[in-house]
Amino acid sequence: MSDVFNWQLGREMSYPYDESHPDWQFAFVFNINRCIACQTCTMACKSTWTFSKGQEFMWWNNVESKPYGGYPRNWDVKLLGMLEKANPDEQIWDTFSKGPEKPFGVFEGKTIFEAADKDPSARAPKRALGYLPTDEEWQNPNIHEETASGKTMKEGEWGRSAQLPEHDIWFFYLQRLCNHCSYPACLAACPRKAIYKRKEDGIVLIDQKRCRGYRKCVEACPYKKPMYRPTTRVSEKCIGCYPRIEGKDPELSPNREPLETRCMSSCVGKIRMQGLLPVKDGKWEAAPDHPLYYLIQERKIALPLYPQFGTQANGYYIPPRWVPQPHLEQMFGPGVANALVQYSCPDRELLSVLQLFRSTQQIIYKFKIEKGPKLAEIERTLPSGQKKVQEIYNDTVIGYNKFGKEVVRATTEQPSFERTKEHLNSI
Amino acid sequence: MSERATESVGQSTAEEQFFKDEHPANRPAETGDPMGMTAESAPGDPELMLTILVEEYASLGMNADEIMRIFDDPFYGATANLKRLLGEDRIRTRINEVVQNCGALRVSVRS
Repeated sequence: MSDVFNWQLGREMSYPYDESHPDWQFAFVFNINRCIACQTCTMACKSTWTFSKGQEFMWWNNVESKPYGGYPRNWDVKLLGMLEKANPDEQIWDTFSKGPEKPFGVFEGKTIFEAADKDPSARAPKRALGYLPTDEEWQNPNIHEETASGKTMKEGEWGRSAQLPEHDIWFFYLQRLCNHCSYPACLAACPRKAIYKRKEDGIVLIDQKRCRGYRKCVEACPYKKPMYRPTTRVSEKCIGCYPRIEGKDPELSPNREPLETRCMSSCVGKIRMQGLLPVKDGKWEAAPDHPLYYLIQERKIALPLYPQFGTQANGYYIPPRWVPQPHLEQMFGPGVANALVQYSCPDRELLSVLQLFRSTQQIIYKFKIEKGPKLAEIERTLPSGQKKVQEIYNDTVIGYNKFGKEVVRATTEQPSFERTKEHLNSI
Repeated sequence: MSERATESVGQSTAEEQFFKDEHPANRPAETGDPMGMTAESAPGDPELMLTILVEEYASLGMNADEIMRIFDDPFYGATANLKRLLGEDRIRTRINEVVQNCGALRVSVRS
């Protein structure tokens, strides 16, 4: 085991390989507040990459309802339970020791790598604490919301053969794909060394020729994103739509402009933004004018999913404002309170950057804001119930692609208000 | 009543009984049922969820009618479920309240 630095935990942690980083890192931000569970991303991915025989239950991208649901079922609850069992009452954050290198404080518990030797059911030494989901757990991409249920009708029968299930209690929708982690557990666990992280963009891939289908990656990945394909007897996972990232689509990027992945660019609710971040000396190079760096590092409103797992996942989420904070903190770490306060009443700069979501298919490497006059003041409610006035300006945010060319321009023109019925014709 | 009509009524009753007794949505949960819900309900506020979703889409530049259309579409799970739970009137009222209070941001995008 080597010691590697994990900025999300604010400390060094044990990892089976020495620290090694790509030149650029694939990363994304999802704004959970806007997701309406249309599953367009899920189907965009499915119809592009996993439509073949043996891939029927394979969803590289899925959207699951939380807290119940999950694909595979209860993946996170199960692993959190295993970690708690391995390190009882010690999976805690020290939030007092925050600093530039540790924005969320220090995680004092054990990661999946550090708790690997605490699995009493393991027959042989493990590189990461994990489990192999059963076939039943893989069957439902979002149980009780994705499948029609009911009586199977015989030939000639007709009527209400199936209906979509309904439920009254729900919380929010969590969009998931491979996080292309900086310290991937799948890569660490593979006995064949068939998994590698690309130097040019940090995308994690499984070499299909080297893989022998031992499923160690499936067992070790805490997010359960590598999947076994019985027809080929090897494992597969999200490939980050790397032909698009490389700008190899002759129609959409004739000049080899990098494009966002299929799941990102198809998003109906405009919740997704993806990009590549420059890495220097193992860290993201400071780039406050990069939209992802701005949201993740500068403003810290986009947070990693289950940072306590220790893989330094590169998927980040703006937490939903309507969900009780303790639940969110377990999921996104101690940065939740700050993120919710900032997002509830965005200032002019943040509001501008938020308008870049899904404004173009091209990957945005840089943004610039052209300031405009003040348009309005709107009262917003903070999570504490306090009121705060948001100032709206007629600002224009400009996005630039890899070659520094302007690709999008979004202007906040003015808010329009609707009159009440009583005052429809008043002047 | 014709023979055909009688059959139809009989079929309908049996069908209704089936949905009452055996449809997974109506059956009581069984311990050990791999398809059963085993999670505990967590505190959540659908009204707050509604307000925030409406604010989000207003801040993307949609007006009240456009936002209402997201709630009408059965393929948008989050919003369609909210409409089923709270009713169309409540949704319409809340959309109007939010748009009257916060306005819908008009955003122009050129690419």
